[in-house]
Amino acid sequence: MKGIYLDYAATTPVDPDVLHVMHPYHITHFANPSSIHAPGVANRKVINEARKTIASCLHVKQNEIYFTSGGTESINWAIKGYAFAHPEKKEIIISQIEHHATIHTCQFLEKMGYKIHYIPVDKKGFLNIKKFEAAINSNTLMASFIWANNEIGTIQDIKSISAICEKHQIALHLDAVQAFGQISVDLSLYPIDMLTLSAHKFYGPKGIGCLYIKKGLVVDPLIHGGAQEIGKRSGTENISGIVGMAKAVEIAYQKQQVTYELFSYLSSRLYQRIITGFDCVVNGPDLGGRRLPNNLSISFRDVLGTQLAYWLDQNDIYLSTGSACDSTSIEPSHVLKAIKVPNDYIKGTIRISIGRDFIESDIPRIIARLKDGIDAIS
Amino acid sequence: MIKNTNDKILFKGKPISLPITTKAIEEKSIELFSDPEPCIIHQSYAAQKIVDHFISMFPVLPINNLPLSNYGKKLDFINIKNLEKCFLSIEVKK
Repeated sequence: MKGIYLDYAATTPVDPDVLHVMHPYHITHFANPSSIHAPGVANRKVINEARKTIASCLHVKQNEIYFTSGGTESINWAIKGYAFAHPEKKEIIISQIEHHATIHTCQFLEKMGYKIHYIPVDKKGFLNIKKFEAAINSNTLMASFIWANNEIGTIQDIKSISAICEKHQIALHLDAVQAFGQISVDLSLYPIDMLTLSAHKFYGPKGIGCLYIKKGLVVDPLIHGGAQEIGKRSGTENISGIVGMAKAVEIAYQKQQVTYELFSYLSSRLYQRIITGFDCVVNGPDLGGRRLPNNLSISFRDVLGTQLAYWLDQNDIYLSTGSACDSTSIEPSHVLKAIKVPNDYIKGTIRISIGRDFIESDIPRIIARLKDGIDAIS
Repeated sequence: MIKNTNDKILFKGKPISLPITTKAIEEKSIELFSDPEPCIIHQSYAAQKIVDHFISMFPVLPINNLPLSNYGKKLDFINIKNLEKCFLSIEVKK
């Protein structure tokens, strides 16, 4: 790809080592893992070895990992599957800044009679813990929160959230799609019932993810058929994807601390240049402990983010805006509205998310392009 | 800015605000995304591409009261009636 790619929160390239281990499963090791013959049995073992690798990196048990088609399916499964298995309780708690996979799943359940609590966040995107606990009642089924926000990088206080869920005996699902690989995701530290990962966010292939389900937790399947994945998620396994995901998890796990330090350094360098050179606000927490190290969400005053992103696109810089589609207009996202970005800035939002190929020497070019772009469209 | 023969201003604003026909956006969306029914963000992207093309038709700027009669159907994507009888001016930002 020519130009500078600054959209790693949207997706990442597949790591060459990941691609390498996937390749044979398209060409020679293609047998159906459910087949009872030598190549099939061998692939069954490969899948379980991949499951073991991922479980080990999350500090959970092998049989608590279930492969899915990605983050959206995992989130749908965690929320709907748990709701369908426990119909006696009809209230679910989420935050105002969840990914659409969570919000739209909950809106679907709302139509079925569930009550959804949308807990507010503060200006930096942190969940209002008191309001969260106050929303819990005897009819509360579960809570689902995004561990690290995809737009503004806010890392929630999982220690407090999980303790509250445990205290009130409600299930907790975490969307760790953006968190994994950037920060430590160690499930032995907190009482977490379900957790979602998606491989393509950390240099794995698209179309594969997993859901961690704590042993003993009852979650109904959403996809019925040949009873793959221990009877919980049917469909012939995406073996190359599973192998690739396991490798990507392994690499991300091993490099997590180095990645965190490198991205924190690079983000802070870029942040300093932006904050001193433009009339803008940076959305989300201050750089450092409670913010994803690869994320900079910036709102420029009296600029349209969509126009700026387009101008940058035409000048070989690729990033996202803070906009959302409705049927007739382009609106600031629900996340930016929830954190109350000032009116004269909110429409001028872009999201920079850096990744492995980003280098410090890209920064002057990005700053120059931002200046040119804002000047051109103002 | 686009004026008609009576000097009435039919459009004034940034190029990105040009009224683009739905048909042109649909055709551009098919060209760019193979999608005849794009969402509003993709429609916006297609519209910007059309505007880029429009600007590129005038390599020398600024222009002042250029008759559009010579452009025939090349400007069909602009949603202004009787465009061939209009005059175009484009300023350059200082």
